[in-house]
Amino acid sequence: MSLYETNFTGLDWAIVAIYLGSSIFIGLWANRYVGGLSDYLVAGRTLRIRLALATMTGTELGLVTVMYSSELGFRQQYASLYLAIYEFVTLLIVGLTGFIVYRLRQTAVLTIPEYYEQRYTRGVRIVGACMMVISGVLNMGLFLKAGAEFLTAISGFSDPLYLKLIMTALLLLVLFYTVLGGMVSVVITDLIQFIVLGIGMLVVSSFVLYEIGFDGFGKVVTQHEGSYNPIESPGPITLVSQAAVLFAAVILWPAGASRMLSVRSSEVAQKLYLYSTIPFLSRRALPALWGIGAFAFFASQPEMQAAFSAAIADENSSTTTLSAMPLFLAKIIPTGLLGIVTAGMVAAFMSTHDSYLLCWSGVITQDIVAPIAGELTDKARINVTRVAIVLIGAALLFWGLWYEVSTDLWQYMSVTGTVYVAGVFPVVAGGLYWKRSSSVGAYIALLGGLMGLWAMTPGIKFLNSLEVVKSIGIEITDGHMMLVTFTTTITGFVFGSILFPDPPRESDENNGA
Amino acid sequence: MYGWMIIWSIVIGAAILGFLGLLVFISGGAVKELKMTLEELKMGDSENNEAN
Repeated sequence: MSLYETNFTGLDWAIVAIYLGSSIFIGLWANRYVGGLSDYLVAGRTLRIRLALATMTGTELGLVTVMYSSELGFRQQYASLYLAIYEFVTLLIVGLTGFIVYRLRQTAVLTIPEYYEQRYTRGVRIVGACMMVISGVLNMGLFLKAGAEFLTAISGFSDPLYLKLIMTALLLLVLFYTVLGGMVSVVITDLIQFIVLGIGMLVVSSFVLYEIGFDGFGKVVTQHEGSYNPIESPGPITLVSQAAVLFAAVILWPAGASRMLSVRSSEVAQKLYLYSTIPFLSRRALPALWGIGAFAFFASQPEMQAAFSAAIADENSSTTTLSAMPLFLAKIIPTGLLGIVTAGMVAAFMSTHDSYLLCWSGVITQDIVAPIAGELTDKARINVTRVAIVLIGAALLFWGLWYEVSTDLWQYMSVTGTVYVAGVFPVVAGGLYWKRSSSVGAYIALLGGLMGLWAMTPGIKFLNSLEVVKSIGIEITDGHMMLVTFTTTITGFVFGSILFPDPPRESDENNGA
Repeated sequence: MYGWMIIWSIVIGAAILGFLGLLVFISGGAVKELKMTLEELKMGDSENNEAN
């Protein structure tokens, strides 16, 4: 069997097409339920626990998550599973204590920047929203790329232009029903997509376990020198920096936070995090298992591994380490079932895209355009949101299809995420729990997040080329710069708040913080 | 090595079994919740919930 020979046939394409057609129908149907802006952006805050959990999982279990987790599984084997434990523990802490989420939901804001204005000033809201959109759109920029890599590999197509057209069509489909239905259609499709994807993930995991076998998974470590100890590789600096990023991101990443703000009450918000421990553990661990399976599969077939390594080294090929998992799955899962699995993955792709588009465009409308433009009617806000969705979609298409990334996907995701989470964490946590938090401190923290851009590959290369860095004899990594960013934002926030306190407000005397 | 492999086995096992349980839990009541949500939105009841 050659490297690109897969079980994906016309039947599988038909299954995927039927699924996508159903999504269009749902988008049209859901439009009738959209009344005001609250309905459009947070589904009228009517979500109960099961629905909120399904839609949160649908959002956070995107194809990009599957791709970067499986890529890490392929590259770092068992050692990559430490990220699953991090997310599980963070959610458990938040779910048990209600840290941040309970009080944030009590404020009844629609978006996190709206909280900035409630607690600080309108200026903080606008700056915070801009930082959020910059980080978020950059972070989302490679989603299409990851989706294209998945479909290319699993279908055995070799023409990258053809796949770019497919991804463009998918994006247009997502734009269509998100623009039309807002959060109501997102919630409905998320529920369907969660069920399709959930069953698909369990089926795939069963096939991987059966194909590789316990013996094969053991050989990853005993014969093929796979990693299993995260303290040795990727090492302590990465472990600490990832702990900081994931802790902040799990609580305050806007797409997830918008789910938390959509639920009926603070109690449901807290419960949502507690119940999300398992899906967040699974979203990391199961794709990582597939990546480890792909590693074992290629390692046990020297000819296939040689062909794969050659394809990665070939500059004219679109094959990267991201392709390992879909190539592996397309060889072990039978026709028909492969179509259902692909539909599940496309569902994952779409459910993340629709929620993220709605989230970032909602921030642009509510937190940038409306505060600057003054009073806007609900209808005007919905229209601005729809225009923002289309503009972000166009930006994503351009960035995702034509930008060449030189790092692994998760590194890109965590670095671009740091730009936002390093700033938002002290500002929100301080605002909720520290009476002396001030607007100046908030500005410093939010803008300090830009320091995270130095953790991107060009920044790291530049820093390591400096004579002063060479003379110290330490090689700066992205993990170092992510930690520097967090340290800058937190200390900047604390000292800025102490040195430049806000004038007293009436609300301070009433509620204490 | 064996210590780490035991930990990773537990993580993967928990992920598979937990996800199965989650599917059952959500499938058990999500459609009913969806119907209630859509009814509330249809009745324009959503603004009342904001007060909560």
